[in-house]
Amino acid sequence: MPLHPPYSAMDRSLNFDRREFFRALGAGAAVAGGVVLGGPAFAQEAAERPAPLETNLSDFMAVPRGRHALPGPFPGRVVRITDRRVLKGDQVRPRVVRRMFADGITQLTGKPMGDSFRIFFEPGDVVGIKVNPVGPPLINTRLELVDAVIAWLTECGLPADRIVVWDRFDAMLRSAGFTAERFPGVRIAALQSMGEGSNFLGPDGRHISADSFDPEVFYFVKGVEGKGVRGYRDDEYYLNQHVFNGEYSYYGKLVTRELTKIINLAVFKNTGHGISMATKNLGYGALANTGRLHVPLGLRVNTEVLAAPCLRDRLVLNVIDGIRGQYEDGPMLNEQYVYPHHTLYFGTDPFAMDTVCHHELVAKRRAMGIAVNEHPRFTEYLRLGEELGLGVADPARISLRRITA
Amino acid sequence: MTRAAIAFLVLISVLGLPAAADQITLTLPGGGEIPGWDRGEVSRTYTGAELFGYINGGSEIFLELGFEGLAVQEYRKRDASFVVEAYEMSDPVAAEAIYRFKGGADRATREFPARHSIGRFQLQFQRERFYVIINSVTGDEALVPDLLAFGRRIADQLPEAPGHGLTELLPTGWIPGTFRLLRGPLGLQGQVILGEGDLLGWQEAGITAAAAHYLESGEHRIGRVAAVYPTPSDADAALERVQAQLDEYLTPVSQSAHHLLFEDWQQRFGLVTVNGRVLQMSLGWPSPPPVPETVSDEPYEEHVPEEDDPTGLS
Repeated sequence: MPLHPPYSAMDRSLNFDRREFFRALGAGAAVAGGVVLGGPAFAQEAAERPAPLETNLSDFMAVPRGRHALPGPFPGRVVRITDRRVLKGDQVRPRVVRRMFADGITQLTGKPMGDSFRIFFEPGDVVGIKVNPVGPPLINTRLELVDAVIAWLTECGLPADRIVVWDRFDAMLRSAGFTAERFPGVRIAALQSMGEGSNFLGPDGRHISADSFDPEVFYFVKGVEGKGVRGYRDDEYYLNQHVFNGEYSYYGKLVTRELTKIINLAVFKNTGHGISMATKNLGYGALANTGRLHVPLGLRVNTEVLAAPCLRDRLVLNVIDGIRGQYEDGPMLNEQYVYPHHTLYFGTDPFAMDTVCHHELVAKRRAMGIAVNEHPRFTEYLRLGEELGLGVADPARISLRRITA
Repeated sequence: MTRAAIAFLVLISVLGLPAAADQITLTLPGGGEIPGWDRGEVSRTYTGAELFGYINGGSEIFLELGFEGLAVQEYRKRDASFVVEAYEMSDPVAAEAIYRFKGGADRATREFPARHSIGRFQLQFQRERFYVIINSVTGDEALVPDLLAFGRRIADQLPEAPGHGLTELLPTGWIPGTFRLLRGPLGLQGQVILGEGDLLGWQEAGITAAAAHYLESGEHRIGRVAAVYPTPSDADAALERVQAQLDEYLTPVSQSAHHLLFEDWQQRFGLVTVNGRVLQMSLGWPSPPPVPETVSDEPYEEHVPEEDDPTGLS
């Protein structure tokens, strides 16, 4: 089911790269209206382009994959369930959400809910439900969807006390309504807090949340530190928000030591000309010290962070909450761009899901008159995921099953 | 107050780190000034580069355009809660630029004294150097008149900004809602990515460009961008940087001292030209646009209208 042709700046089938193209032109091709470019321009370009940043991605990939490793049992498969009855005015209808969720799971696996549960989970699992609390009250993960997931897990025999609803920031969880009162019996957990003023430092001079992160499991980017990062008043300010500020982004201990499986509940919304959905919800949500990464690496972080065994081998299911969508000015709330989308997306392969949803969001943005930039840099991270064997990003190899109630 | 409202305010209080030593120059409504509404406990000010402490994603564009400070103030009325975010930008053009970037409507209605967009959950408007969002945490329809009352109270204290004339840089007839003011590569992404960083030198030179989209022949959507540089040599240098460091997904077709014609990965064409101090781009052509044969040596003269009513009321 082709979504759109693969991006290509040159005809790759001819193995014809840009430099060769230039040489061909420089050899005498006549181009109307101006002078054909000469070699020095490209020599200068090559000299000015920075070398690729060195990360520890290869360390992640060297670890043998676990039984549940991405892309899971259904690579390239995406199920899209739409039911307009899911919204009545502002209100989300819980019963419709539960039905959509059940339809999505059974369509994804081809099996009833109980059998589906056993595809992903084993007795003794501790299941983390990663939510997206950014953009309340309209564009965060719907609480009713979390209810549906919890109901499925508990009805299939997983004790409620083995379920953890989590995000990176405790304050954001509360802001979006993910509280112990709202979800009795399950654990609500954040990787970190932030303090007031300088109160984020503990007696030992370290961030009060430093012990929540695993010093042995990290994403390393050589030469990129959380110091002098634009957008932060000073390094102390950065440290409060990001806990650490060196070349290492440590994963939360919740992820590395407690959870044995992860269900990822992202939200259908944009971030700039890209999307902030399945891969980004974990790519920037499961570890500390991420502020340093936005400018030099951007969405590539989504892929490389997901390649770590602690996520790659535990992320068994993704649901993108598109009950509402936001097609511009995300990931924060901008009401005028929020619309009822009435849709949930399901898959074990977050790269296939993001590929589908990127395409759909671009179409929505175009339809709404937004200036769309489809530069390949906004989807390169998806193709990297495919190159690494973590998922499928080639539209020709993605199977999208659309079901409308 | 609802649980969600309380939680929202907790979020703000936790994310709000700095003491309010540096205040913005706008006075927000006092308690009781809008009937029934008292000031809540949350009151924060963010200045300069502190913005990331408040905005989780999306603050880069504020910094690119010229961010000075942000005041956040909570108001409460029984179970309802409003949170006012007043962004003070470096100048009125920066405020208009962020307002337009956020999709604010072009004009005001006669009932509100500034460009604004309003829904049940948010009122946003721009006047003088300020871009203001008023969030209604519960989104109650009955509170919309109060949203407007808060907005009017804030907007009424601000003078109208003088006209900037930047619309004159572009031909008329753009698609409504697509006019943008740009000051760097992030804003330019809505039109094109020419390469890494501030290749056009807008940030370094303090240049504001104008951009908009047009329907060409009623069919193709074409982007146009125009910027005026301090000197012709500055404009020439910008073009030279683009030619030398063109994005890897753009293929140069032809160039001269005054133009660059390129093809993108979707087989669409873009043209960058320099004429004296003015750099212009037209983007998204399905076939190569004609390259101007001659270049005028006439100096560019800025046209600033005597009156440019930002409210659109006149």
